[in-house]
Amino acid sequence: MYHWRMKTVRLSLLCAVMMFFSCTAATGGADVKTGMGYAGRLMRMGMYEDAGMHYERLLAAARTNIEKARILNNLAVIYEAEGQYEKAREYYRRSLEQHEDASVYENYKRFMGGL
Amino acid sequence: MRNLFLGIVVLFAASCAAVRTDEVRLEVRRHSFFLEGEKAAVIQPYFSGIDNARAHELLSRVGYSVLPGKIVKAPYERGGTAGEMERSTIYRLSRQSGAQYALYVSGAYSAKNVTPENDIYPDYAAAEKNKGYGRTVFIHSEIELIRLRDLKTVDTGSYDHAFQTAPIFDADDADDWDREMALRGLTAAFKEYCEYLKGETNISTRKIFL
Repeated sequence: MYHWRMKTVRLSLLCAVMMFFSCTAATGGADVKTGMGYAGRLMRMGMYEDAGMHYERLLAAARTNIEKARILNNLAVIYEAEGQYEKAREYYRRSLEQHEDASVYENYKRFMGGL
Repeated sequence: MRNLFLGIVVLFAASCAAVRTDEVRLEVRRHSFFLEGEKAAVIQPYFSGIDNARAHELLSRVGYSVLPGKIVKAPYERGGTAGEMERSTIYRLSRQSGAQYALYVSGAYSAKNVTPENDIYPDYAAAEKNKGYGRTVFIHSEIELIRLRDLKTVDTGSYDHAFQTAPIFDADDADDWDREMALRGLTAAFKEYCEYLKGETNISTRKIFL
């Protein structure tokens, strides 16, 4: 009985570890995840230039298309806030090319409609 | 024990799967024609009683001076001012000038003689040469910003102007003066509208990923 219990515990732990690694890979790894949170805080404070520099660095480190799409969207928002509309449009489009996300599409639609 | 671990695993998976987003508030241009590279074409106005070709030229110049690089002059079409212009004609003329938006101005004016309070004027008969009459011109202008992609009016402006003269002694002079004032009112309305477009912003939200 004890033997079976230990087996279940070990199996669950193994699953948790595997899920952790799969999750960090999907959301961009610990570094990208931390960086996104930090740059997001900068954006909320209106420090778009600093946030932009962080996102550019994160973009170079991004591995998956989803990661890239999210960073490109955030960069597009920064360019829009700075009035660089041509660049904003380019980044929104690049983001949607990487991964079609509903939030990015909504941002792009608002941007194009002047809303 | 097994249920506890299963619960932990499920919770962990759910937290991983949830996308962390936040909203930021931005001050954005109200009209998308401010996107770089996009332009608005000034269509010849529909304004009876004035020289429309001259008005078209004036409006284009005024627009360009307020929004350089954003305003272009659409080709002038003879006979195009006989009635209000069709959307298809607006589309064709704007596209010919490489614009993505069109600015279409229409309006009318009316004028009347003014009777001063002291009742010395008006002297319509001009019996006494030095006693002319004052004249007031009212100009109403409507401006439409049309998006060519779907031919929808995305914004409108409505303006009223009034001008008053010093005493005028000749009826022909009065007509010329009325026309000049109508043109001035139309140009002033267009300038106001272009300045409004230039400064108009919205506060809007955009989603960012965390």
